[in-house]
Amino acid sequence: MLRILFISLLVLLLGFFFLQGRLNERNGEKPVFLRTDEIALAHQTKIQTTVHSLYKPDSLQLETLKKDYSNIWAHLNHLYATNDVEAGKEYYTEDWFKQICRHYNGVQEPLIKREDEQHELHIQNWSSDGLICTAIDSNVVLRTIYPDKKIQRTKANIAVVLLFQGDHWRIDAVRVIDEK
Amino acid sequence: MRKLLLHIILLFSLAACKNKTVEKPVWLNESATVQMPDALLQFSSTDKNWKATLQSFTQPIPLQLNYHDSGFIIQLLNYEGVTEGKAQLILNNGKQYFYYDVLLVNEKKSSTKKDYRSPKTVNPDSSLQQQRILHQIDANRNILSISNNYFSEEEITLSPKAGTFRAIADEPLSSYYVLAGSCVNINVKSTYNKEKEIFTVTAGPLKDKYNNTVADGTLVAFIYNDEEHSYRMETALLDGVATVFIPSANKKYSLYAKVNETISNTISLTP
Repeated sequence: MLRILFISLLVLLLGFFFLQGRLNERNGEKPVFLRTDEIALAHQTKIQTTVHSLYKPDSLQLETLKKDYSNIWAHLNHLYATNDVEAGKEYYTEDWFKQICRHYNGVQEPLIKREDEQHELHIQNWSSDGLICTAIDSNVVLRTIYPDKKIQRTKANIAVVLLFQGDHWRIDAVRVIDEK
Repeated sequence: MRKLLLHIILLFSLAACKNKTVEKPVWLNESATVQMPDALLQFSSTDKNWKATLQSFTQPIPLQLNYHDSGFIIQLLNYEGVTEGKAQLILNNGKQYFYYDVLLVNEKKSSTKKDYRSPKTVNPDSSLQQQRILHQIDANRNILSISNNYFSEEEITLSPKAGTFRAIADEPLSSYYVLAGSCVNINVKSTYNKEKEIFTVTAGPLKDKYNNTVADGTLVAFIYNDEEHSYRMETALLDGVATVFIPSANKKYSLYAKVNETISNTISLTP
């Protein structure tokens, strides 16, 4: 009798722990520093920088900016094609992220794809603490691929505000000055 | 004859497989500039099953299609502004695509001033100079042009008054700080408590050259000596004042206070 009672208690306990374990939510998302950004890794573009600002970034800061700006464009192109707002959130400021989320209706199959081939980044302002950069990206060569395989090349002039937050530069605001 | 009949049937089957060609919908209220988010784009078309996408510079904008007898009306699914600039409206029916170039403009002209300061913390001992980067954006983070410029920058000299200030009044994140500098002179006073046989020595109020009270926690050293030995007591400043209690032991002391390189006058402590 005691044996049956003991075994049933053990089964009850095991069942309880098994169910508790199943109920626990496991967050499978790795921290940023352990993740590989496939979108940024696959992206290639030419960025030429010219500094017009009062305070000048040093060579290392300029290289970081170029690398991050290339990654920003990788994610902007991905966003353009799929409306996947989350993929590039590491390269968006909180306010920019909130802004693009207003038109989020789920990730969609790419209809139009865009590639950025060339940038001429003119740094207008550079903060003395190296945390704010405003720039005019002139003569951005954009290659747009339409669903009927038609390809169009346009040249755009864009004003951007970039903020250094966390580990890298993030896009905060933009103005499409023109696109022809 | 039988073969020919078979070929004819095959030919007809092939023709039936081919997609029906649809006509390009006519945009009835066509306009080069589309005002967002109120835009109602009216199209006439006899066909149904249209899909519409508005491709802005940053992302595809979800749309809503409402059919009526002679066509359909397109409007935004989410009633929000967009990234302004060149965009494309794409209508597709099966594998047929039709493109309409438009310029997206937001109807609501809101404007938020951005004022970035660096350094965020200024100490009058070194410099009161601060860099200021300015621009303005709308509610959808489109940078606005002011007098044909998107950005401006200036070097400003801050008031030496210590405190926490905001570059933009209603934005706590735009705060910057002016700290108090080092003290310029130290006044030392003492009182003697006969019952407890203790000297109460007070230094302060300590002020910097702009009359700001020196920061709490600044270390004040009191150095005193009798004819034989020299002693040192340290305490942190609170509200500009530092106080120490020295047992008299029926001795006479001469005392001065010190904060970094600033030294007070010497006073004598007599019971």
